[in-house]
Amino acid sequence: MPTKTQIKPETAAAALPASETLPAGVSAADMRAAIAEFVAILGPENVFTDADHIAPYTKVMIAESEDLHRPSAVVYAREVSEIQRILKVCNTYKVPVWTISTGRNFGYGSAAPQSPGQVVLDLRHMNRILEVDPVLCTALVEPGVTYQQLKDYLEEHDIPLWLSCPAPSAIAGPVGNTLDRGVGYTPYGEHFMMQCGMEVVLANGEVLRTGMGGVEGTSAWQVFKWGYGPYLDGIFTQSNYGIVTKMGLWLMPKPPVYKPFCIRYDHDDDIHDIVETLRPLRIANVIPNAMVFANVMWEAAALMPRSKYYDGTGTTPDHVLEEIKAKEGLGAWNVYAALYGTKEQVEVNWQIITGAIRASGKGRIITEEEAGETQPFNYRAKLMRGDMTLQEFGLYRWRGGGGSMWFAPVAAAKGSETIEQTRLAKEILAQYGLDYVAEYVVGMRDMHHIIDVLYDRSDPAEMARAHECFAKLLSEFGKRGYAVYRVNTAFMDQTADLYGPVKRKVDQTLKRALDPNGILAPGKSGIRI
Amino acid sequence: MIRPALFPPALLPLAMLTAAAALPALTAAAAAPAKSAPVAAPVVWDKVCSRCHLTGVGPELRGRALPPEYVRTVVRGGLMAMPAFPHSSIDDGTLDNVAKYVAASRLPKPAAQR
Repeated sequence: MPTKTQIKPETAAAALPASETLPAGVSAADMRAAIAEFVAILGPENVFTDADHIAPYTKVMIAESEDLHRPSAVVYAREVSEIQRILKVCNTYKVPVWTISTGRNFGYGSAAPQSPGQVVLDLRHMNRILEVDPVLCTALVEPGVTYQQLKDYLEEHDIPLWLSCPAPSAIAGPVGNTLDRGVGYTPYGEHFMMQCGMEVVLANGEVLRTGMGGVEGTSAWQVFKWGYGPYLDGIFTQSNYGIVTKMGLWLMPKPPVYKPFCIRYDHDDDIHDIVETLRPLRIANVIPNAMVFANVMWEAAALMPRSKYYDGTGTTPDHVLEEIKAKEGLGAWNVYAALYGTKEQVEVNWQIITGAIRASGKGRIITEEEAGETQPFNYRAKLMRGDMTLQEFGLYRWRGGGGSMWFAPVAAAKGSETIEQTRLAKEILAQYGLDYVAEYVVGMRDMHHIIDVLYDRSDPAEMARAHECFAKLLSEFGKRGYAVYRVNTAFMDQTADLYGPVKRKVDQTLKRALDPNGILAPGKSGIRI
Repeated sequence: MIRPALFPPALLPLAMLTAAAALPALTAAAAAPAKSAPVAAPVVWDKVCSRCHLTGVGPELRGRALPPEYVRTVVRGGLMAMPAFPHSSIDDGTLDNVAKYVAASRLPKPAAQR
């Protein structure tokens, strides 16, 4: 007896989505035929068109109606061979698929497709940890593996390796995060830099292994990134040229000594001197991790709703922020960094860092011993050693209402740029009554200026303001030569334009060559045939 | 290089991946994962729910006698800051376990009142 979750081929047709959720250019008859073939390939327990199963994929945080991102169907695949057969059907009927791994990507579009009607290909069940090499410190995983799963595996097998996770660690996964070029907070925080080797199912069903992966008998797939000839891994990130079904990554050996610390600064303009003081230490690898400079609102938002201090509407007033700083012991800017290594290495680098801070004449250092178990130090210390925490979900209840879009322009690691970007962002956000909830995540020479555009998604007027605000942030930053490193599904075309017409044309040329029917995630990063 | 003892049979050793001659054969070598049984509620609570609902990030759920159906609905659809969890993340059986676990939970008394 089929249940609600089990659709027989003939009943799948009856359960077809309403016409408004069909993919653009696909007829109801073709969609019906495609669904029936998906059922034949995957079984009825892995193909869904009913509201109950589709609802979770429509829970977006971006400032657009979920109707603009509503899938027509959801299918689960577990094997490469299943994906190959699904793509054959998609090519036949020109049905687009939006592939997700763990389907998180909060504030960037979550699990929902860029345009309505795309079929979500959910690879969460493709969750095998294929290998962990404790000698070479590498892993090979499938898309559905979560950081929690990998962490559990390392602990259960007593393998002394650390992960690097984004803030929603426990429920997100390394493949999805790396493919969207997300970052973490350890010395391995630039995740794509620490990726090594992919298996990719192309739109025509062929299976490509990148790097050394195509060499028969290789032992170097997870240790040598570049392989031979053009380096291809990059074109399968933030793109729609293939479906990544395996990914290698490097893991960090657990250091003998781990020393997280915080430096608090009292004034907004201190961000200039923070960058100038710490950049040389980052480039010289004295501070090896992707440290962060978090502003007072980010710190507070991780711990409390703003209603604790402010019941009004609009932008949080400065005097309220001063009160929060005083009562919660937070800085205007709060640096979180860590040292990793032997006792001797850590001691030497600690002397260099404390000497640099003393010489700068600013900043109050807080050690782990001084912070104890207090927040936000505790969760920051977890993030910088790749541990599981969801504390930063607190940001989402700062103003309430479940609206969030990450505006994340890249900045050169220069104090002057941070002053300009911070001023500009605060000014634009204030025009729309929104808050500057921000942190800089420091790369080798760049910084990701991460701003959480938080708004009340249950208030249509505020949602419209947030949408307008985000568009203006993109355009005004763009006029000054700044562009985001990653963006949500509502603003992918506007962002692609900032990178210039030639880039867009090359992206499209690759798309037409690798996916001539445009069946893979049309609209991702503004790329279509 | 590989310590076989570290890898349970469900995992695919790299040797199996690299020894085969052609890609289709390689992918065929991967054993199909068995359909997993529902996970015990305390495990899910500890690894996922508690990270927000015991840290002050999300609302306190314990001791409120929340109807299991309400818990199921919010988990599936999400609510405001609460993310949605599709069937691929938590199957119906596991979600039922969690919903009943939350419904039957009691709020521990503060230490001073014990």
